[in-house]
Amino acid sequence: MSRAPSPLASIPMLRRIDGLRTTYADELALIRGVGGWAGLIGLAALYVATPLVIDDFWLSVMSFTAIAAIAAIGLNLLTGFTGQVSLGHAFFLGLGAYTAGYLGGELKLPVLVWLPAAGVLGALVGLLIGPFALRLRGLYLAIVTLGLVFVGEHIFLNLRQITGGPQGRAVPSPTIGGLNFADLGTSLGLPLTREQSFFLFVVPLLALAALAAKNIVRSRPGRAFQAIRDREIAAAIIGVDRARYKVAAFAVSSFYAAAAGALYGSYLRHITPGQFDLGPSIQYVAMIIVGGIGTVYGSIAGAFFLVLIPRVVEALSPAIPFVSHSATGSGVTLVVLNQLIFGALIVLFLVFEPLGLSGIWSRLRTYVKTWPFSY
Amino acid sequence: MTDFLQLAIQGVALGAIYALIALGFVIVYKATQVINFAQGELVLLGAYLVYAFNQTALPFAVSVALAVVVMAGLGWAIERTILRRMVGKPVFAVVMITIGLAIVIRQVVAAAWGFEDLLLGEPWAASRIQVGELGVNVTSLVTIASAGLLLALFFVFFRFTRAGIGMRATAIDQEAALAVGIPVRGVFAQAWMIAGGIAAIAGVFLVAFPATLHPGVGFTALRAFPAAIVGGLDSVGGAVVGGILVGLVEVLVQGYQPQVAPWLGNNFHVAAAYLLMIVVLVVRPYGLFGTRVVERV
Amino acid sequence: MRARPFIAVLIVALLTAAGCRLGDTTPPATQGPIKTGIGIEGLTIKVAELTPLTGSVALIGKPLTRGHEVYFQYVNDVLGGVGKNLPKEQRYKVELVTLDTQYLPDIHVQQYNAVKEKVAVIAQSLGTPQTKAILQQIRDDKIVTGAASLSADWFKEKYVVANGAPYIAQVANAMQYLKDKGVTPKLGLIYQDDDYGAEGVAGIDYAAKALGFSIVARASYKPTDTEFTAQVNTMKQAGADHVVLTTTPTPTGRILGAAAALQYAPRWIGNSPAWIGALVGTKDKPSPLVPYMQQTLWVVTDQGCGWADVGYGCEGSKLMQDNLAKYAKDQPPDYYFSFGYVQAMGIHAILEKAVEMRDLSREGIANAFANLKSVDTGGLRKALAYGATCQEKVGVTGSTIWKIDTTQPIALASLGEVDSKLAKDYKYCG
Repeated sequence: MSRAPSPLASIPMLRRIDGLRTTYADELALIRGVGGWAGLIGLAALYVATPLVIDDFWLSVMSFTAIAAIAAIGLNLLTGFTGQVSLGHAFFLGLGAYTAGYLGGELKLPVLVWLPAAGVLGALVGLLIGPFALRLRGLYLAIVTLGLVFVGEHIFLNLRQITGGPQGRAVPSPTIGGLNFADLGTSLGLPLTREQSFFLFVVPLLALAALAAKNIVRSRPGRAFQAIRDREIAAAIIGVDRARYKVAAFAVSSFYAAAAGALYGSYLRHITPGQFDLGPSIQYVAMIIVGGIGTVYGSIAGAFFLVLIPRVVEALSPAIPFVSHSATGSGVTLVVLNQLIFGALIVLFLVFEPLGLSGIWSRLRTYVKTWPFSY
Repeated sequence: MTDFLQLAIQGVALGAIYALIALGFVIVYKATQVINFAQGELVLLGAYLVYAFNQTALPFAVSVALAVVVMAGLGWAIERTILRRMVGKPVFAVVMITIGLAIVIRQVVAAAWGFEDLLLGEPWAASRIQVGELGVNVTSLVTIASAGLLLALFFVFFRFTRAGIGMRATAIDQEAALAVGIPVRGVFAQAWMIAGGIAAIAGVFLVAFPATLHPGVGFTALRAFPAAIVGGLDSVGGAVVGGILVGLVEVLVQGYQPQVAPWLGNNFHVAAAYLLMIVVLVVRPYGLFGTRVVERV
Repeated sequence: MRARPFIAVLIVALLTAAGCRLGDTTPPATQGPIKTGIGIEGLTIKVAELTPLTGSVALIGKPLTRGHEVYFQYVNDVLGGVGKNLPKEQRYKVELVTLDTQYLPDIHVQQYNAVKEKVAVIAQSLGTPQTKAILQQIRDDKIVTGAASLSADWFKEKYVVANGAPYIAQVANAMQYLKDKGVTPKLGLIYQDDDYGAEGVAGIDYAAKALGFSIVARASYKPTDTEFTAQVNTMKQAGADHVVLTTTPTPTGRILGAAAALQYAPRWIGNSPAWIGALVGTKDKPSPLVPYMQQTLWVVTDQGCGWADVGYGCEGSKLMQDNLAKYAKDQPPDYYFSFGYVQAMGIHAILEKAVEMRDLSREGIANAFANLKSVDTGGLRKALAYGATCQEKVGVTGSTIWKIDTTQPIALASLGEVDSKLAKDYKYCG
């Protein structure tokens, strides 16, 4: 994994800023050099500044992005790092959302209980599904997980005492006692709107999720995941316990998805079975493709990109002649245009940029780092 | 008993539609080892093309023939411009490309024809045949006959034609096929052409009366997916058996489960097809008639 | 324009003793400046339309929204805006902000968030689960919202404006109609497996129990189903001779097709969403099912004259058709167009009331809604009942029953109106 040191590494100043990797410890470090720390402080500042600067609508988009990013990180651990393709991710989101709704809504438990409980239940069901991954490889696993989505939807529709059936059910806001994280304004007497509150609540959770994922992939299980992805039988021969790690990957990924689902439900406040079908499952796969398979930050970038693009197109659409904005107008609707872009992006990224946004980013970074010696 | 026979007839008819769609999956998988998730959307587009040609006062049969030709051309174009670039890339990436294509095709259809329910306008329309207590739509009979005919054609194709044998050889081992002089790329293109053409035919039956034509039909076509898997993704006969099996399971479950096992919940038939698929995959990971693959490092 | 004097007064202001009795409502101010709030920009009232313009429900969302567009254009152009007692140059023009929800609850929430700080009211929120997804926020934001769905749950909501009798009342009225004709049906029910279908189930259970009818079979389906032989066969085997369809148009067509193939011809009774004019096909390409539908199918809608020809019809219908010809020539007659048109009348009446009470803030509009008793639609709909309590809002529960007749504008010809005690007595307020 370690590369030959760059010629610039001999300049101490540059090394500290760019965090060039000269030792194995550098390779493993989460934050490298002054640049890394500066970036971190910048992110923290951005976190505080964002809700003050942008309006409720864009904050809503950001909150959706953060939730989607948590789910995408989970899928990337399974698909990107372990090579197990799942089209059933939305099922686990649904599982988490309904768990949150039931525990928080019926049993009136606080978020500190229902959020981890949703994740754990997701992981447990992941453990049950995991063994399929042992028997089936590659596409056939994708197909079983596809089946899982349909079976899951049937369960969500029919387990009416818990899920509310086709009508769906309410999911409570994240609260602990009198403190409502989705409405800090009222609970703390601060001048904060609901959207500002939820943004402040959900972004640290995303950071936590990303950090945990980073730690998984740079430690022993992560290496095992990647060995299985790259050459499964060879990995088994060098002593990686295939069964254990595949099932573990499934459980971890499902934990992420279910926790994200719980947040998603809590943010929407009302969930219906139709929200957890094949469409969103495909969307999460698309996120990791666009962001970058096998990278944690790529998952976030992909989620950001795919949630944001429709909104940007919407903002630009008055200038696009063939888009209609009312029931009267002829031409395609925004949704049709956005879906078209979504589908085309999947195809284009896979054909021309299989490493996704993170591939573009690392090329860009290498270029800047080595400038003017591009090679 | 009449009850059962009536449902069974309907199940076989539905199964024949699924079989026609599943054949498209199988052809592409057999030649290229790719599951084509865009097959449902090819079916959708094929049906709309038949509708569009038929609107211009062309006779129905000519409209279908034209749609088959255009769809075959589209299949060829997809292989030529997109999938050929992906030879040697991970199968997962190729499959996701077909999902991306599916989304694009669906939106093109929506942009071109809108979301209205349309009537296909097939000549036999609402006519039916009555045998004693049993009634059956002519649509169903034509569907079953077409599925049977196509199955026979495929059998002949794979057994006796150069192209068919080349396709089988490619499916078994691409490198070996190349080594003995089979134009593997040509084989890929042929498979996609056939998949496109057959999609137009499947589309006709999927939206024929009493069904209607609308962009949601593409999702319905996805119901044929368990059929292809149950039969075995690389078996033409399997597609037909799988299709009919899944069709029968759906209609019979729909007919009897509400009385026999109401605790399974409303509309268990949809999940039943996928459960059948999962069970088959666990017991026989390569489907009922699929070829077992030997793993190598 | 001959129609203008007849319709110039759209609101029946019933603020006499009844208005003062309500404890929580402020008595209207008639003097002083008009208080404004979010979504009032100068003399423009911004109004949101959350509706599917994409996807299979666009079939409903588009004509419904056209109904709003045409009606508000009429308000702006002919009436000079909202505020009929104000001098013409001080009246408020209504501006629509239309957002595509795709009939997906999560998109609905996003679009709600996108628009809530820009508009005074939500004139249309289409779909029951979709509207439920934003219900808590509607309560928090105190924004008056017109629900484009006939769930009985809306009566209980302070800020949600129902647009007519719920599906339960439609079924109950249809059953009463049978009873009055001396029919003792063996009932069947085919329903969509969602909240809409659940109201059909509630309605038939209630009516059958009250009238002593027997329900011999019931079957559900999923919106993506294509094959309905099993459901139809269940009805046929059970010997059901009257089958209620709590369905949407595409499945309706397929169910009737399957039934025709099975030579099964009961009396089909569809809830209003089961029907759309397109089911009969076009003039050049009529559906092969037209004779079967004319023979077997009834459709139950809100009570009113709807699209029927002017001979039978009413002033409201005539004005609507004139406006359609004036502002939306390309829009063919459609049940959902009139549904939206009537809904827009209700929203207009609320805004008109708010101007009269001189308060266009969110609270002021909600207050106007609570103080508005009923809206006259010129016979297009019998009346819309509003008020402060659930009971007051239930008010109007009548239905019109139609048969299929391709010579009529939306292929429906009236069989009669039913405003039954049975439908009125249902415990909507639980």
